[in-house]
Amino acid sequence: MEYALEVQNLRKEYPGFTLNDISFALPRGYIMGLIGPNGAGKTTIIKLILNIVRRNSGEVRICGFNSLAEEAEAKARVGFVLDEPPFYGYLKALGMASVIAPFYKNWDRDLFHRLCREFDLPPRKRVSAFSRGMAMKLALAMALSHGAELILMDEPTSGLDPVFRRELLERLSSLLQDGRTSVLFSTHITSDLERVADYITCVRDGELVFSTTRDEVLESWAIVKGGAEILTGVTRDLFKAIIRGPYGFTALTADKEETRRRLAGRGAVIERLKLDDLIFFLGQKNKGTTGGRT
Amino acid sequence: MIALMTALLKKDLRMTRVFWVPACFSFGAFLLVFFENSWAFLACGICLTFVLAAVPMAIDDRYRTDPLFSGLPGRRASLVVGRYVFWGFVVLVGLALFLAAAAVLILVLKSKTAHLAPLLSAKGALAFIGSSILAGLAFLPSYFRFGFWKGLGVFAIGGLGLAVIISFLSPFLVPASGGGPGRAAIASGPLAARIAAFRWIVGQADHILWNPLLVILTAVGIVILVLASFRLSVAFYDNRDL
Repeated sequence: MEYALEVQNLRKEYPGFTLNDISFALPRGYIMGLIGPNGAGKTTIIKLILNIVRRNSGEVRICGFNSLAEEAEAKARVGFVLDEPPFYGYLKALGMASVIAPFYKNWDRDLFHRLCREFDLPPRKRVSAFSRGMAMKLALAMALSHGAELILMDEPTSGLDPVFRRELLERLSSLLQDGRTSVLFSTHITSDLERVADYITCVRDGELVFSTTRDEVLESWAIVKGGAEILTGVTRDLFKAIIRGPYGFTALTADKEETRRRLAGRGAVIERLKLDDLIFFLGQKNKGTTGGRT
Repeated sequence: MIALMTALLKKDLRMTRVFWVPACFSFGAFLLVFFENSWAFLACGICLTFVLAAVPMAIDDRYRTDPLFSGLPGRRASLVVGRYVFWGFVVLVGLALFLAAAAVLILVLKSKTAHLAPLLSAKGALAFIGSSILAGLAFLPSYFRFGFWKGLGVFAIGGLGLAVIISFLSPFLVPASGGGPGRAAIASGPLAARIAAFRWIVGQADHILWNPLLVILTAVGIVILVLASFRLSVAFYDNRDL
């Protein structure tokens, strides 16, 4: 299989936080969602891929190019949207593009103009007067205007109205039709993932929880509810996170079938997982309010 | 590499073009203030050039665009090269503005500005270029290590420290008797006496440096300084999280 992005054993140490041994791969022509609670390391991963922050160890390959040894070749194939798009506030959209365009050999001026029109970006307004949503649209227009094979986006849909959010997701899906473009985006909005993501990578506390297809997550992972008496040392191992209540527990399992088999006849209810639940449980675990194992 | 350098130069010019007309006006206005003293006149021109060269860095710091440009195609070393090239470009523009301002002042004010005439020479131009480049070579590694404002602070403190050291060393570099201002007077005298000593030393250097061998050695020294400053900047910037 040909990969647009391969991340191997990526490690970054900060005082008080370590992104530890992150590995995942995104095949060409697919969309991957990067999820996790706040502070899990999603933005750091995207910045590490772009070499905006320096890794302690690990390797990143973009469309087969090593992102350090062949940095220019690798980055020429990437379009990116950062969480806080860093633009010169006193320039207008076209002025900002004229600053960026000379860095890309394949910059398509006509495409950029067309995208600006489609995104309703006001040509005469200074970037500093743009709303967050408009700044995101401008960043996206720039990311899409040079024939990038890999689009990296950090929380692209936050701050966007539902109409444009849906348009954006449809555009991302349409990008894949050429079979060579891939997208990695981090988000908190799980409905976006359910709508477009083919793969999901989940991180928590700087550790990789899983990286697999969305369908496998939705098929294998589940929410389990039951009485407190079910929670024994043996059954607790089935759960990634547990929330205890006065009358029982609600837990997250990564192996629905094994859980179903082991808890059969013990009054436990196994429910289909929503990605919202996943982030909620992992976030709770992050706050230390549960007693589950990972 | 050349394409990227051109892109960076275009970017810096694009960003700063709104400042070029005010900059020309500032050159005229400030130099007019300091025209009575050729040293102050020269120092003012160098300071204005420094400010002009540092403007894109201040703007990048203001809008936090470092992550954007380090995510674009190219290595960080190329971004460093771009800054050095822009600095060199601004030094040449600054020199042109400086010489033009000096020429206009001499033309208009005539006898009142006769002391500025030596600045309109190869020596004057070299003094301007050398000082502006040395300032850049010292400032840029500090900028790449600490960012703009902190880097500027470190550079200013370093410059001040160097001035203090030179001030204390100057009495020992001036001969006890002869053409100099006199060691005893300098050692015990006020700041003005130390400045006089410094000027005397520079004056001596001016005579000595035109020896062809020393010109070559100085040129080699500047090349080594450029390389050292550049390597230091790359090492600092390569290890920074943006």
